[in-house]
Amino acid sequence: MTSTTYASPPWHRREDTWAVAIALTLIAGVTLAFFAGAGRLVASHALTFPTWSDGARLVQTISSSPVAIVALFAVFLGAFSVASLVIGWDVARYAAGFALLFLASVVVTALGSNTFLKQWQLETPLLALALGLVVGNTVRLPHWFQTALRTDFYVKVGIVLMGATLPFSIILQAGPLAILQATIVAVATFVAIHLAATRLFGLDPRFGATLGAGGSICGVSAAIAIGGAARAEKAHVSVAISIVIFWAVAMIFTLPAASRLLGLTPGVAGAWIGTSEFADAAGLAAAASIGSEQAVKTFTLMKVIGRDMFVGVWALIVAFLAVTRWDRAGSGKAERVDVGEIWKRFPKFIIGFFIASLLVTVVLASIDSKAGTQYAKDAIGPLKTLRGWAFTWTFLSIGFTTRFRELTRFGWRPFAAFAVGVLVNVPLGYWLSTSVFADYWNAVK
Amino acid sequence: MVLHLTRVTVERASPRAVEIELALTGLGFEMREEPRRVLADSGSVEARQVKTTLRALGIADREYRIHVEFARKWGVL
Repeated sequence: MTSTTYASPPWHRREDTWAVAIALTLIAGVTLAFFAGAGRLVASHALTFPTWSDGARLVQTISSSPVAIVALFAVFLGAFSVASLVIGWDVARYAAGFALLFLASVVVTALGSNTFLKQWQLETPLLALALGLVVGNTVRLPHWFQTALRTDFYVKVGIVLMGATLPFSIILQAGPLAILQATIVAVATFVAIHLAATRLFGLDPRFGATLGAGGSICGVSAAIAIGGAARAEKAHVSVAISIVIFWAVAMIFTLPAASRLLGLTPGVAGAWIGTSEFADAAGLAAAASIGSEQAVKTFTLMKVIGRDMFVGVWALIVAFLAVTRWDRAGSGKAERVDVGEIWKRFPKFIIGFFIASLLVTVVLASIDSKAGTQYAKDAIGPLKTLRGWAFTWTFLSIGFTTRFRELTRFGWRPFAAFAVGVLVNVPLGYWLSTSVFADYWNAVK
Repeated sequence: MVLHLTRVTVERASPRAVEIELALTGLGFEMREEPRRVLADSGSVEARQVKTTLRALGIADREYRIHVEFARKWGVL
């Protein structure tokens, strides 16, 4: 292979593998600590900041638990450094970059717990994003710091940890509904974007499919997967990604603000965001800024189970359309489509999400209710905290890596085609979340 | 924004396998031999160009398979 030829890495060098491994190891570790009688010790070292208005209280919190900050940093630095080594990132640069990212995350988390800022909905997710966007678009970031800005990696760690906080019974109960709602919106949005792209704006159908996937399935990952399945041009995939990022970042602020303005309950708001946001990381930022665990849960159910999981199926359908309609020359036999597309394009980290949920569900089912309550406090509680930190690194990374100037390098036609999809996606998602399935989303606890 | 890989798989049993391999080598693909098939990889040639070239030689779509993969570059959301 030439140095410029991208080669799909083997499984042990993929981000998905390490995100799942790290998250499941944390879950197993915390669980073992619980059964070894060290649950309270672990829980007391899961770093959180109480709500504060008096700076002295903040200082007291930090000075009373210096070990917690060091332990949190050491555990993740160690885990991520091992991952870096195997994946092939520059470990020394990554470690230095992560140290700065960690420092930034402590600062925004501390600030995000301030009473005054919380009143203005400027909590940790939005503060992290805002800090990143301002600094990333005004300052040239050193290369060693950029090495640690791994949005996709951190969000996958967070989502697998999220699985540990979502009982499998909820996934079984709400999963089919999430799939139904997501499928209705995804199909309607994809068709709208594709028709607009090809019939209204004269774009290539493969380009239309890539845009459609970005707007309906799971944002950048879908644009990449479906772009590949459709054999779209590299330039088209890049343009689709730019447009997805533009809208995804816009929706981080718009959807939560609209949810508050419209008085939506957290469960419903999370479902709406899960239907109408365009990327997992951006959607988590939006859902987390609602300020309720319920919103994050319904978002995850909708986005991960309702949409992300099916990217492989979409890839197969689009590959079939590509070889039988868009690519076909004359009446000769079309190229064969590999059904393995479904597995090749499937986002593997979702398996980790399900394993995490099953693991914790099995643990809870095998202990009595008193022990279960203690496990929820001493194990699931700290895992939620660790999840929160992974998401904070995600939000900071989104901000630091989003360059406004680069995002606007797309023509008006693809942007307009995508905008047609937004005009379908957002109201349809709103209606389904608030009117048709509201009771289900409000019942997710 | 993205890295890309175009991979063409040609079964050795295909009647025009050698001709396809020669055409792909001419386009700059890197060839990898396996017992029953040949894999041709390129990070610069797009799928459309492969189809155009092979069709111009009278090679049917059925005689090979194209797989395209994209990967996000650093920093893409």
